[in-house]
Amino acid sequence: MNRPDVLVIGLGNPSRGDDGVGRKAALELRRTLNSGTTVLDMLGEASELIDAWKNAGKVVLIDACQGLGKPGDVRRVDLLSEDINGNGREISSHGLGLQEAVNMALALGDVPRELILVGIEAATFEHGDGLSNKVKSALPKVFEMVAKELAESKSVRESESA
Amino acid sequence: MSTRTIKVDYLARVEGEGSLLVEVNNNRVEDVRLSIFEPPRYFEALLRGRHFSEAPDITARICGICPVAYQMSAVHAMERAAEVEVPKPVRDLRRLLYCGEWIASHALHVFMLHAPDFLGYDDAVSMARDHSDLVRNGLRLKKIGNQIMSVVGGRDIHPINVRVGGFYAMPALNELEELTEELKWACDWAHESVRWAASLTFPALEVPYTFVSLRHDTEYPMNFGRIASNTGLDISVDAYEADFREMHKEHSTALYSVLKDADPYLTGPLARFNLNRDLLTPRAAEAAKEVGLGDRCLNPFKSIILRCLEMLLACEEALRLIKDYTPAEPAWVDVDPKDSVAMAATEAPRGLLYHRYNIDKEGLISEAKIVPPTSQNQTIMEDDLRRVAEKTLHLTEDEMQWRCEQAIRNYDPCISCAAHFLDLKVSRT
Repeated sequence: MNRPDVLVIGLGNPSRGDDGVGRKAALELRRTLNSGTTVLDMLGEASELIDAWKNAGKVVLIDACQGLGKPGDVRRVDLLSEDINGNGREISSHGLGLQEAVNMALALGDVPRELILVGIEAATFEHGDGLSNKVKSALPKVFEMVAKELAESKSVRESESA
Repeated sequence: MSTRTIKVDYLARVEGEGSLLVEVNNNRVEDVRLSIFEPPRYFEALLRGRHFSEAPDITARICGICPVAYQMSAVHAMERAAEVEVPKPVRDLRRLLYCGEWIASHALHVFMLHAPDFLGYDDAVSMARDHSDLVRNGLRLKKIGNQIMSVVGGRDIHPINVRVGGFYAMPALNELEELTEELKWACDWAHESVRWAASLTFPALEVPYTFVSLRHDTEYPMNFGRIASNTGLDISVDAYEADFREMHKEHSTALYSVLKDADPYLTGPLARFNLNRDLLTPRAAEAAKEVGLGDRCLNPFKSIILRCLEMLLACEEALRLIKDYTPAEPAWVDVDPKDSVAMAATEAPRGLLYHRYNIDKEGLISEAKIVPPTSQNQTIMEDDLRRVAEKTLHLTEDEMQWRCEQAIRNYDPCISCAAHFLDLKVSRT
């Protein structure tokens, strides 16, 4: 199966307030980015993530976070060199989260060449659709950062093939 | 590679929604409390005033792991109240959808969450380094379950193709047939996983539980059946609230379900197996015999074997249903609202899921009641914790916590229909 060299994945649960920001951003990017870029949106459970990104070149994830700063703050995290959970075992009875997905992929050798998170600090994870105003206002910044990642990836590929 | 630590908590995985407390005093277990979080209560309120046709879509959002279970209990309730029978192809397709959810949910739980407890790892990640095939195959099995849900349900999370009366559209035959080869692999590997699970070491614990599950005349229960127990209960779903009740306990906002005489009961794979042993599919029956599962299984830790067995059963059923599938029309039948009380129960991966809706003649819901499996199992989970804690007092706190968590995971408590855990507090005064 062909795997895209560059992949954008928006993560989250759209029924839990700002947790839906990743998927909402992905839907918008699917509309606006050129058709050569594969954009996925998913819940963010580890097994589906690993399956999506293995064999890909560069992967840009978009997800809601807590602990980055003020609601609406956007930050770039290089997931292959930075740890997003300092607590060791993630507290969850079911799903394996993003950090576990990264760790699992590393253990299995199923990681892309580059794995970048564009994280948006959430204001609320309450039940219900719709983003908070602060997170909604952060979307242009998210799009700008994703575009920058894609441009960098393109220039790397061009210089590699030159 | 330099490592920097940034504390970030991701959602769907919000902390603090539940905790586990074991209090040990003078080497005696004084108190055991499992606090759980229950979004279904929020949804019960949200459903009031909504049209009955909206219930499947609204309740599917209660749980990211078992949306199909919520949808199925909702649509069956509405159809039972309206005395509507859906066509056989619709009935079969719903069972196929449910098979997908059982496979995905059980695979996640068995291989990612419960297996590390048995094999002595902190988590699936550290287990993956030594048991990569187990993890890869587990993920592959989970994926086939998700694929069934995507094809039949329309998407991976919160399926959108289910409606009261049937489906919005029947999937194309070739979309389902494309899953066949992978499902054949899944059957073989699920069979292998039953052997693997049976070879694990199990703590010695046998409990004479009261088991409750659906019981159907001809099929291992998913969508249909009467509510039965190993203590002689055999009732229509309509009588659920007469024979079961919910109790409050001070430490928890959750409601505890018990039988009307206050006896706790267990629901889920262990109950289903014990009450429906004779209805296993051919290969699942063969596998059960092969690994020495007798007529009864009373060790809650062996639920991991039974989940593997149910994955095999669901893979076999999925293959059969796809083989027999024709995308017959109509995809749905009309269901007219009437002033009624709508009730149904189906078998979610982790146990019986009961829904009741009071509907007026306009089709608006005036009251909703949802009883998820984890709240039904809560009393038994606490009882098991007490038993396990008492047997592990001689161990260190870390070892004790390990065993207590393993015991809770026997019940695969649901993130959003119940526990987000685990914070074990042991005070040895």
